[in-house]
Amino acid sequence: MTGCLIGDTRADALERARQLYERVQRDADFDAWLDGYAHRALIGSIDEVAERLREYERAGCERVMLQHLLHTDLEPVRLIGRLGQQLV
Amino acid sequence: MRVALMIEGQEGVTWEHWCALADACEEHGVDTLFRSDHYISQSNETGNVAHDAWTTLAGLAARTTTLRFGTLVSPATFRLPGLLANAVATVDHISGGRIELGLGAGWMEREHRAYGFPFPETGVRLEMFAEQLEIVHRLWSDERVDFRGRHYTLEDAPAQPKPLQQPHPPLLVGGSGTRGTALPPPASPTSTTRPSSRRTTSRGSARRSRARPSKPDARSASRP
Repeated sequence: MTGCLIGDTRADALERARQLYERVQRDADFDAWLDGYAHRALIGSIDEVAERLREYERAGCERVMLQHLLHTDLEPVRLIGRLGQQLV
Repeated sequence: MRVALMIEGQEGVTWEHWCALADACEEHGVDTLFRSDHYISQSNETGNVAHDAWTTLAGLAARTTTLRFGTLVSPATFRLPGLLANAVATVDHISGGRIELGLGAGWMEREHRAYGFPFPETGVRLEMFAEQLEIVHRLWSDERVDFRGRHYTLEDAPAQPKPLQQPHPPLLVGGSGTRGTALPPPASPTSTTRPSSRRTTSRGSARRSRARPSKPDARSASRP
């Protein structure tokens, strides 16, 4: 399992990062928080996330669970469905 | 590579949200919808609803036709293994064979204290986890089950209902660190389980015990 902030574009993904950042009170500023989250999450456009997942696949990973924390936003569900079809 | 969606159900996911998520997964061809299994939000205890994992999945299973479901992961501390094996087998029937069970030792002390779930120290929880894994697997696989462990005792259980997926729904093991990933541990001295019935791998944080789920109609498939 890994965190996932995905968008059609990288800007869309970063907009979701901003929404997630603002959902709870945090000590770190946005950039510092995002740097930290990027160590345990895939963040970027669908093409960027697909490329990272292909690296995992080359390393032998057979399955990944993408943690979607903005659960009322259904757009990432569409993108994750597309990712699954691309990586079959 | 299979790509699944993972939702933290304890963070304010209402039933309406669950329906919208499951419907969107089916519409967009998501392979599997996993959910966490917790009873308390980690960010807003009173503001974020946390619906029970297996009853939520039962409802979603009845609502959908293609999407697979599972938990990442169900703490062994929440449910007795006889209840868990039946609940998961039941949701397997409701879904027509689209269920996976993730199982772990449990770690969030706060939810246990809050709602009265026992929360013994880590080594004991790992023992409970190991016994549950063995019992659930045997209840799904064997004709009758006798089990005498350190934490659970089953006396001549008729081992029903059997799940729809054969040989059984995928079992995923969750854990981290040297102890959490060292499963399966040796059987407890009083266990009556035959060594051949113990399986599962644990090198990753969550591994399937089988390569792919079998077709629900493959009932004659050989036992593990």
